Amino acid sequence: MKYYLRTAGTLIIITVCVVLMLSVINLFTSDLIEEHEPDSVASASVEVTENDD
Amino acid sequence: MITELLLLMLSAVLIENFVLSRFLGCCPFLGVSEKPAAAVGMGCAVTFVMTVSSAIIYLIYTYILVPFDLIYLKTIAFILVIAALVQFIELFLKKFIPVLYNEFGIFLPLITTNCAVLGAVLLNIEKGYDFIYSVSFGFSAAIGFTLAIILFAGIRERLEFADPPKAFRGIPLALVAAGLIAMAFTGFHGISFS
Amino acid sequence: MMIKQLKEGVLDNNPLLIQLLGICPALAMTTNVSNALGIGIATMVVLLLSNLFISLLRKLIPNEIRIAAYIVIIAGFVSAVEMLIKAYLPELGRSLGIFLPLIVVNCIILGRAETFASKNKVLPSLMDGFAMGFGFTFALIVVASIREIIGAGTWFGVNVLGESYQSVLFFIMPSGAFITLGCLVALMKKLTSFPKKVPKNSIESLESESVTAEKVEEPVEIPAEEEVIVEEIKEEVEVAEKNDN
Repeated sequence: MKYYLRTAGTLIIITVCVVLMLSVINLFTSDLIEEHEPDSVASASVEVTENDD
Repeated sequence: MITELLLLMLSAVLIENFVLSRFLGCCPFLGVSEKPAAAVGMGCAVTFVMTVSSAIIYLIYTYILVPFDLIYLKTIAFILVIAALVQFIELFLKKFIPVLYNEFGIFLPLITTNCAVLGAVLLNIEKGYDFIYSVSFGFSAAIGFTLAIILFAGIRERLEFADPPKAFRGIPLALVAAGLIAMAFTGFHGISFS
Repeated sequence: MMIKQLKEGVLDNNPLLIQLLGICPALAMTTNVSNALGIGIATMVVLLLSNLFISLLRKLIPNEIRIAAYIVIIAGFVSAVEMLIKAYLPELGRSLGIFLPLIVVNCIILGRAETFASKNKVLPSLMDGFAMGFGFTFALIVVASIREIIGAGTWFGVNVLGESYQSVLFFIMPSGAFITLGCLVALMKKLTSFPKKVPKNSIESLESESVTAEKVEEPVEIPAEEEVIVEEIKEEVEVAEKNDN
């Protein structure tokens, strides 16, 4: 039991750390990326409002 | 819509063949293609993985990653799904068709690192395909890969009896041969569907 | 030790030209030198980071899940590099396209993690990452230079062969990629294998000619590289040796 806990636990910890690191980087870079490459899925609505100037 | 779908599938198989035009899936292409039988097996395994992963990954992307603004996690999520799928196939084969399992050897787990699988799902996202299109694209891309690998296995069998310069034996010659096949497939490039 | 590692990474054990890993980006991203440089450096950065962390954590990762753990770590760094490039070098990000996230399945990184970083201390692992990454980038640039100069008359976007040069488009196309790489690998094989003294055993010398990637070297060496196939071939050679003695 302790063995499975150790293996699964280590993997989960590593995954969580990696996701945290990526979230931090995402905070810094997501605006810049939006600028350069508007996400086709996420910003469909944004495009409409922009055209309403 | 059916026409569009068929055109999409045709172009994935012939016009923009995954291996010979997009360069996705080269490692197993050069590694497994020595025997046609192994090539067919590999092709089937890859087709299964690519089709199923296209489906699963589409669902994960559309219903989990996008709504929760987690698109930046796509690479990790996708590769984990693929790795899990391959692991599942390995266990399945080991239990039910051990002959095939032994035949594949190290190449089965190597499907995880197959550029074609991850490449296909990334292209699905990039092109914004919906579910049906994603699965069809994944499936036909795999068919294209299988086609290329089987063709190539046949050629490599003949190449065994050739007598190239020492330095060219093995992979270098295979690469040159692949280049010639790629040239043949370039003939399909003229066909375009908008 | 470090110089030796560097020499190995670039020449004797070049990940692309000798180990034949990372062929996908080598074919797709060598249409011009700037792409090659981009993907090479991105790969090297990921290689450095993943070697570093995998070496740091090598005693903490249980054996059974090590591949999964490596994949998560590598995928993490690839995503990080992808985000940074897309944010700060968007032009490059666009040229590299899907091959940027595809670095995660580049066999070189997983291979080095498995063969080297998981068994060595941090500093040698870092050096290994640098050596292999540098060797890979170097090989990519060579291929790209050939393809760009002959195929478009430019190098790094700069016209080098004059206005009236008729580009040989073939080299920019997929078929050109395969053939250029094939010839280069053959050249590399010739330059690094054959001048070396071939072992006296005649069967071994025949075997070593048909081994595609690895040369059969002195038995006392660093553990054999990634491919299980190479292990099998080495076993075969040993059996042949024993049979002969």
